Amino acid sequence: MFHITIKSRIVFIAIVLICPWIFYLIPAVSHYLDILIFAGIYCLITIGLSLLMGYAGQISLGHAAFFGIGAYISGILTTKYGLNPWVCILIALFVSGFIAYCIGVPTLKLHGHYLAMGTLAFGIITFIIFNEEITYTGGPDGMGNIKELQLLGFPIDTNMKYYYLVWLTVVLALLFSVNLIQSRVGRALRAIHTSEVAASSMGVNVAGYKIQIFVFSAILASISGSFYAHYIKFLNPTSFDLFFSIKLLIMIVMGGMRSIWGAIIGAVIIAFLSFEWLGAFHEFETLAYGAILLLVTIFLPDGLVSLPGKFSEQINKYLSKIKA
Amino acid sequence: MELILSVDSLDVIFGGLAALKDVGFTIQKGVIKSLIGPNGAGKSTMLNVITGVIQSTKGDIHFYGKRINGLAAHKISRLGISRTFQHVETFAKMSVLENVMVGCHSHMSANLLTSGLSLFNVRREEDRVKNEALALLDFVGLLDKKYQEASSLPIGEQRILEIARALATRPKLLCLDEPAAGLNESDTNQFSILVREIKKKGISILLIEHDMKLVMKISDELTVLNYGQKIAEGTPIEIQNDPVVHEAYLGG
Ligand SMILES: Nc1ncnc2c1ncn2[C@@H]1O[C@H](COP(=O)(O)OP(=O)(O)O)[C@@H](O)[C@H]1O
Ligand SMILES: [Mg+2]
Repeated sequence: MFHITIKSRIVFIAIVLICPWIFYLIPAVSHYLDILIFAGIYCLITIGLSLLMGYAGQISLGHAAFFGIGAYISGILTTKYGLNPWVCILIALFVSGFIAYCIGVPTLKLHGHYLAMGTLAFGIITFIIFNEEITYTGGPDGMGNIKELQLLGFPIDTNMKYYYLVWLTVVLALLFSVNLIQSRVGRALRAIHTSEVAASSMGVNVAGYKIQIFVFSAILASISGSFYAHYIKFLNPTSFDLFFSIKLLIMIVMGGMRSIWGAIIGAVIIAFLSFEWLGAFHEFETLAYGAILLLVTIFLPDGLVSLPGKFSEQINKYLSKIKA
Repeated sequence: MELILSVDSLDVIFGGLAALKDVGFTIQKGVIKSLIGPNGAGKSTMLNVITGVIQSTKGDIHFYGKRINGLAAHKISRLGISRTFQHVETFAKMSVLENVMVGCHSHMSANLLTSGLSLFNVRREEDRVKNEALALLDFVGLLDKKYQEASSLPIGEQRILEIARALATRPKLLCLDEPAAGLNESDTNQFSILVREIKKKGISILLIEHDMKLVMKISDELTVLNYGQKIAEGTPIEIQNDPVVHEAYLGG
């Protein structure tokens, strides 16, 4: 399951490239392009979270905060100070990475779920700051007028262009992560997941790697936040609350924690659920997510990515029964 | 004979209980030293302190003249002390080959950035380490299981896998905690051949083992612990004829 073939990478890139045209050509589902952009934005976060949770076995309940820091730094610095948006994305990722480092050092050196507690607190505090710092963030009323991104002088002004910006970034993040998983660092992370004692006895700097991967996942979340700000152009603190952090966990669990593909599948499905399919539930939406989480953990503990394997297993069983 | 490890008046206290009390011994280069004693004597605790998994309360441990008390486990591993575990700690969901490749961690240089970018020298290093790990699997006799998940191996083979993984760190001292537990007679013979092969490579071995026949056959020296204290030390013949040891084992 950990080995990801070249073929599957190429198929993934092909799907990413072709997908928007299908939606573009079918008017009834043309708004799916918009949803896919959000899905891509989520993917950037869940890829990092998958490395952190699925591979290294550490839980974060505060990634909405890094997403928010990316979004607000991009939003504030471009609208209020007129800085170049790409510079702002860089500033945001440095700030997020630095904050992640500061949270990671004390909490990740301890065993157990201190990171979950630390990031939970951090997420709540950050949310309060987004709400209260009205001069900068606009508080609960939100902030608007964020400009669109430009690339080499060309404005990224259509959904199609934005789709490619976001999803090509997802492809880069995914390829980077796939390389990582199948390398010295990835093996160290997976070793830490199973046995910290054995990993450290094999020379793996356990605390060091946990911090590195936490910082890396925070940086991805921050970039995602910046893209989100320039796409939606209006920021409101509720997009970065605890519920969003939990929704991110649901994406990972639903897709499958033990595979990087799970991060992609989970993000895409939750994006469609929240923007399209669960609209009818209104205030019961949270309940629906709870039910989904429950069902997946009970019936598909390895997530939706494990479904094809399970399916073919059942078919093989059935076939061998027929033969017998 | 070159002295590589010396333990001096070591105390380890858990809460109120002294798991080790004023214990000292030495290991020379290229010897097989066994640590024996009844259950709860403090053998595993000794190994855990030497490898940095737990901290000593008092006393010194020197490895090649460097004091290693209080160093993090991964640093001690890099200095050249490796180990296996009494309760197997293989990386269950990883393949047998990958388990051994984790052991190669310290003599690789790829980091998060270069790994993610899969730079040319990273891939070359990966190939080198893979070959090294395959050679080790061949050495311990697990080569044909290289792509199996570690947890799918029987426990005896997982213990052998732990030895291969420990060897991958290129240790000068290899600590084995009850490596032959659960092995049948022919496996035990295989195992004693393996230990002698490791010794031939110039690696010193600290062995904790309950199978007395095996211990007396392969050890150069023994240290006997009882209730956290050293009660005897010597060659297998000396220990076999030691009345104090007999008393500890046969009920005093
Ligand atoms: N982490 C620990 N915390 C508390 N007590 C421990 C711990 N590890 C071992 N002990 C105690 O220390 C004593 C020695 O244990 P151990 O070193 O495992 O013995 P042995 O390996 O010789 O059978 C036992 O009484 C055991 O209960
Ligand atoms: Mg023991």
